Amino acid sequence: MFRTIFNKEILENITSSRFLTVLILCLIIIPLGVYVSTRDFQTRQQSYQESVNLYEESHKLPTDLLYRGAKAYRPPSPLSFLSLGLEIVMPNVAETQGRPGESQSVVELKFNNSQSPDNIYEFFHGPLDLVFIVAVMMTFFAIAFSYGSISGEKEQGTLKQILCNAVPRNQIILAKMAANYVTLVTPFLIAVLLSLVIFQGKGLVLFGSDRAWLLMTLSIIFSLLLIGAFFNLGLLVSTLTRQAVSTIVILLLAWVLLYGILPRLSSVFAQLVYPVKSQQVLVSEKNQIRMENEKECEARIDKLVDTGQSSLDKQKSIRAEFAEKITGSLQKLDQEWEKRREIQRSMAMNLARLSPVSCFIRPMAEISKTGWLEWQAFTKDVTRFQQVLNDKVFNQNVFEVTKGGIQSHEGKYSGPAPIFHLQPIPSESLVKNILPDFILLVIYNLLFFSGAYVKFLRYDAR
Amino acid sequence: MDPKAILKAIDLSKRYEDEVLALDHLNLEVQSSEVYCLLGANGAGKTTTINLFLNFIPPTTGTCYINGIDVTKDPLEAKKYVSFVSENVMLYGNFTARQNLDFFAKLGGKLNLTKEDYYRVMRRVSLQDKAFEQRVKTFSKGMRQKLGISIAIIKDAPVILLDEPTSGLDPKAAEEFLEILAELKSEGKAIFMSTHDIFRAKEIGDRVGIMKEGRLVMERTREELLDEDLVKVYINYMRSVPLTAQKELVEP
Amino acid sequence: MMFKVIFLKELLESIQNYRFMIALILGLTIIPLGIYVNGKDYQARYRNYQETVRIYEESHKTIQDVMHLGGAAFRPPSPLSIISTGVEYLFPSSIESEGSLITSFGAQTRFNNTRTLDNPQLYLYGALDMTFIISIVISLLAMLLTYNSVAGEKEQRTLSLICSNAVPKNLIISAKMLAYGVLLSLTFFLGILLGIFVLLMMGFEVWTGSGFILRFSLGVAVSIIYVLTFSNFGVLISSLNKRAVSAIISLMFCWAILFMIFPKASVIVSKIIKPVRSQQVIDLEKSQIRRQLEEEEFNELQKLRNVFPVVKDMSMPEFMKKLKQEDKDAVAYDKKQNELKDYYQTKCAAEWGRVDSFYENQRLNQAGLARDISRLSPISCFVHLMAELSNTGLLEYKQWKQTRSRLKQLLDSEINDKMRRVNFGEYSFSRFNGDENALMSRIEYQLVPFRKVWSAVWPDFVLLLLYGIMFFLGAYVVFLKYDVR
Repeated sequence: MFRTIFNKEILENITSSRFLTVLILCLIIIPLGVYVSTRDFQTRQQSYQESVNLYEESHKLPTDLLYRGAKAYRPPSPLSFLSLGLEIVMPNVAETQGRPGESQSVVELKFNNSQSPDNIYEFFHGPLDLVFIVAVMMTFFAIAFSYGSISGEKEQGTLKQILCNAVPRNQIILAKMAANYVTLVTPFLIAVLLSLVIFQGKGLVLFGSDRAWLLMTLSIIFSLLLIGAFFNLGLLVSTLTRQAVSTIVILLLAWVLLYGILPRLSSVFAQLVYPVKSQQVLVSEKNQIRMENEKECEARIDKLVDTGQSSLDKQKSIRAEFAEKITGSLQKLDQEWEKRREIQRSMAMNLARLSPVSCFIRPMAEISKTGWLEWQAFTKDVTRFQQVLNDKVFNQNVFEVTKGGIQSHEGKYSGPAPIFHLQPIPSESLVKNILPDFILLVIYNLLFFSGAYVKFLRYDAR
Repeated sequence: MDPKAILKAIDLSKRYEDEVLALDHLNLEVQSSEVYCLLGANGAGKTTTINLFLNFIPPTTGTCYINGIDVTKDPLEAKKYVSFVSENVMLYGNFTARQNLDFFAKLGGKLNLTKEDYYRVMRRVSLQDKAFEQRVKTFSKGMRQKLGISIAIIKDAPVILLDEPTSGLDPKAAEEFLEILAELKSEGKAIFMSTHDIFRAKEIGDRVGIMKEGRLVMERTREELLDEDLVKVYINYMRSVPLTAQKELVEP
Repeated sequence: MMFKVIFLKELLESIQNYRFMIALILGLTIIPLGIYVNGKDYQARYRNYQETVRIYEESHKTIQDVMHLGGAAFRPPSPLSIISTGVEYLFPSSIESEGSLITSFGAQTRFNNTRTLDNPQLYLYGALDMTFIISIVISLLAMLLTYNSVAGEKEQRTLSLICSNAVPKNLIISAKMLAYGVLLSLTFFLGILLGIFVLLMMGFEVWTGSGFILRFSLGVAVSIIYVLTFSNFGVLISSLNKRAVSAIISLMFCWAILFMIFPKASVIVSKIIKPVRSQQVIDLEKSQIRRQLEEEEFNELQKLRNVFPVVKDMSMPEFMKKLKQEDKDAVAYDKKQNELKDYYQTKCAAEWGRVDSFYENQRLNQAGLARDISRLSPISCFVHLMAELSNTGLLEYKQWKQTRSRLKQLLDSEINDKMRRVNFGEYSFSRFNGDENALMSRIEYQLVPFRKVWSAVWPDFVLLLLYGIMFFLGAYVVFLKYDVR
C-alpha cells in the first residue's frame, strides 16, 4: 500500500507543472548564485593576496614596522558562496595608526573594514547565496508542494476514494510525506551538485581544503532540514483545513511570520530589553582613559627630569607601570562590555530560535566562516598579534625624556618582522555553536510531522 | 434481519456536533444480487448513511456491517468488501484513465493486473478506446462516472455503494450506467445507491426506500411497486407534515 | 448606481470575511510595532552618538588637542531610519584623520567602519523597518485579499449570476478594484496613525527638524500607492486564472520573482556588464603613486641641496640658527624647498583625484545600471525611493563621502596649512604657525536636502504610479474577456 501511494504521488508530482517550474528555477538560479558568489570571492581573494604581498614586500624587518606601521589581514572565506553572512561588514584588516615607532605607549591595532561597497544596490537587496536560495526560494516551494497534500485531495474527492479501500491512514500520510519531499528536494540537490562540479576550480575550493567537504555536507543537511520543516508545516496545516486555498493562506502568513518577522524582531527586542552601549562609545571611553593616563605618565616623567632624578631605567619602569595600568583598565572595560554584549547576543539568538529560519541562517554563517565565530577569532588573533608586536618590536624602541629634548634609544632587533596568521576555528567550537540549532531543526521537523500524522488519523475526508 | 444480508444497518443513528439528527434509527439490509435504491430529499440522510458504511464518520448509536464485519470495530477489514462511486467522480486530473484505474486497483488489492485487464474493464463500461490514455481532466461528466464505476468493477468487491450516480447525466448516459449496474447485479453484487431519480429507481431497484428527515419512512419491493405509483407515493411522503411533528413508525 | 451596489457589496463581503480581519489585525499590530521598535532603536543610537560626540569634544577643544590626538567627524543617525534602514549599516560611524597630521600631503582622513559591531545579528537577518514591513508583509496581505476577487467568484458561481444582469463588465471590475483599494489603504493608514501615536507617546523628538514631516508624509503617500499597485496586481492575476487556488499559486510565484529574483538579478547583470575594480585595489594604486612621488620628491630635494652648496655643508642646528637670523641663503633654500614640497603635494592630490574620480564614475555607472534594471520590479522602485527619502540610500552615501573631503579641508586649513615645515636632509620638522590653543572649528553634518532627493527619486515615483495604472488597466482589459461561466 505504501509503495502504491508513494509511486502515485511521485507520478502525480512529475506530471504537474509545479515540478517543472521548480526544476527549471533551481537549475537556473542555484548555479547563477554560485557563479556570482564565487566570482565575488575571487575578487576579494585577489585584493587580499595583493594587499598581503605588497605588505610583506615592504615589511620584512622589524624596523620597517616601526616606520611603516603593521597590519593584519583577514583572508576572505572560500565558503562564502554558501552564506555571505557578515563577510562584507566584519573587519578585514587591523592596522596601526601613524608611525608606531614614535609612539611612547602601547601600540594598538585598530580594526577597519576596507571593503566599501562598489555597488550600493548589492547591499540593498542582499546576496544570492545558498542561504537565501534555501531560506526564501526553497521554503516557498516547500509550501507549494505540501499545501494540497491533504486538503487538496479532499477537495478533489480523491481522498474519499482512497479511504474506501483497506489502506491504513498512517501509511497514506507517510507515503505522501516521503514522496512529496523527495520530489521537492531532488531538483535542489541536482542543481547544487551540478554547480559544485561546474565551478570547482573556478573560485570554488572544495578539494585540498581540510574540512571543506565536511562543511559543505553539513550545509546541505541543514538546508534539507529547513526545507523539511516548512514542508512538514505545510502538511500539518493541510490536515487542519478543509480547503486547499485556506491552507495556502495560512502557510503564507506563517512564512511571513517565520521568515520576515521573528528573526528580525528578536535582535531588536533584545536590544530594547537589555541595552548595551555602542562600540563607538566604548572606543571613545577607552581613548579617554588612555589619554588621561598617558598625560599623567608624561607629567611624572617630566617632573623627574626637572628634578634631575631621571634615568633611562626609571623612565622605563614608570612607562611600564602606566602601560600595565592602561592595559588593566582597558581590559576591564572591554570585559564588562563583552559580557553585557554576550548576554544581549544570546538573548537575541535564543529568541530568534523560535523560528526554524533563524536556526538555519545563523549556523550557516558559522559553517561558512562568515559569522560571529570568525569575527571573534579574528579579534582574538589580532589581540595576540598585537601583544607579539609590542613585545618584540614596538617596546624595544625606548624614548628617554631629557632636558634637551627626547632622545630615542634604538632597540635591538633580530629576525624577520612578525607576520599575522589567522588560526582556524577549532571544530569543537563550531559543533558546540551549531548543535542546538541542528537539534531544534530536527525537533521542528518531528513536531510538525507528528502533528500532521496525528491530525490526519482523524481527518474528516468527506 | 436476514443473516445472509451482506450489507446491514442496525439501529443506525447519527447526531452531528451541531445537534442535528441526521439519521434516526435506520434499519436496512441489502442482499447479494440485489439493487437497493434509497430515495429522499436533500439533507434526508442518504449521504450520511453511505458515509457511515464507509466509516468516514462514527455512528452515534447502532452498527453497520459489511459482509458480517462490524465497520466501526474493523474498518480496514470491512473495506475489503466494498467499492464506492461518489456523486462527482473527480479523480486525478493529470493522470490518464488507465493510470487512475491502475492506482485504485492496487489500493483495492489487485496488484498484478495488466494493461489489457484495464482496457477490458473500461470497454465494458463503454468508455471509448481513445479515452484510455487521455487525461481525466478532459473527460465529460458521463465519462468520469463510467471511469468511477470501472474502478468499482475492477476491485471486484461484493458490495458497491453509489452516491447519486446518475445526477447530472443525460438520459442516454444514465441508461448505459444502469445497464452496467444490472449486469453487476446479475454477477452477484449487492448494490446500494442513493438517488433522486424516481423513474430509474423504479426501473432498476429490487427494493426502494424513502428517507425523510433521517428516517426510513417507507420501503417497497419491486413487486409491491408494480401496483403503486411510486411517484405519487414519494411526493405524498415529501409533502406531508414534518416527522418531527408526528410520530410515525415504519415497518422494515 | 450599479457601480455603488457592486462597490458596497465588495466592501461588505470583504469585511465579513475572516481573512480581512486577519489582515486588519496584522496591519494594525505590525506597523505600529515596527515603528515603535525602530523608533526606540533610533533613540538608542542617537544617545550613543551624543555620548561619543560629548567625549570627543571634551578632549578635543583646541587645535593642539586635535594635532595630538587626531580629528574626527561623526554622522548622526538618520531619524527617518524608522522608515528605511537602507544601507545605513554600511555607513562608517565616523571619519577620522590618521594619527599624525603632520604630513606633507595634508591630513589623511579615512572612514572608520565599526558600526555594525553593535548588532551583527540584525545585519544577518535584516532590519524590520517600515520599508520591509510594507514591501513584504503588506504587499503579501494585499495579494491574500485579492487573489479570490475574480477567480473565487467564478468558482462560487456568483460571477455568472452577476453577469446575467444588465451590468457592464467594466463596471464590475472597477468597483472591485476600488473596493479593495479603499479597504487596504484604510487599513494601512490606520496602522500608520497608530504608529504616529506610538511615536508621540515615546517622546520622539525629531518632528520638526530637517523636513521630517514632509518626508514622512511623502513616505506614507508612496506606500499607499505601492499597496494599491499590489492590490491591482492581485486582481489582475485573479482574472488570469479560472480557479482561486491557481490564482494564489501564480501570485506567490510572481511575487517571489519580483521580490527575490529581480532585484538581485539586476545587480548581477550590472556587475557583468560594467565591472569595477575593488576599493582595496584602488587604495593600493593610490599608495603606489604616493610612494613613487615621495621618492621623486626626495631626489629633487637632494638635487636642491647640491644647488645650495652653502646650505649643504651646514649642520642642522647651524641651519636653524641661520634661518632665525634670516640669512639670505638659508631663507632662499627654505623657500625653494617649500615650493618643491607644495608642488609634489599638489601633484599627489591631483593624481589621487584622477584615480578616485575615474573609479567613482565607474562605480556610479554600475550602480546606476543596477538601479535602472531593477526598476522593472515595483518592489525595487519602492525600496529605493524609501531609502533615499530616509537619508539612508545612495545620495546619503555620496554626501557622507563629501563630508570626508570637507573634514580634510578643515583639518588642512586649520592645521596643516599653518604648519611651517623645515626640511634639512634626512631631518624634517614642523612648527605650528598659529595659536595652538585656538578653538577647533567643527563640522556640522547636513542631511541631503529634499530637492536633491526628489530629483533622484521622481523616476521611481512615476514608475510606481505607472505600475499601479498598468495593473489596473491590465485587470480591466483581461476581465472584459473573462469567461464567467
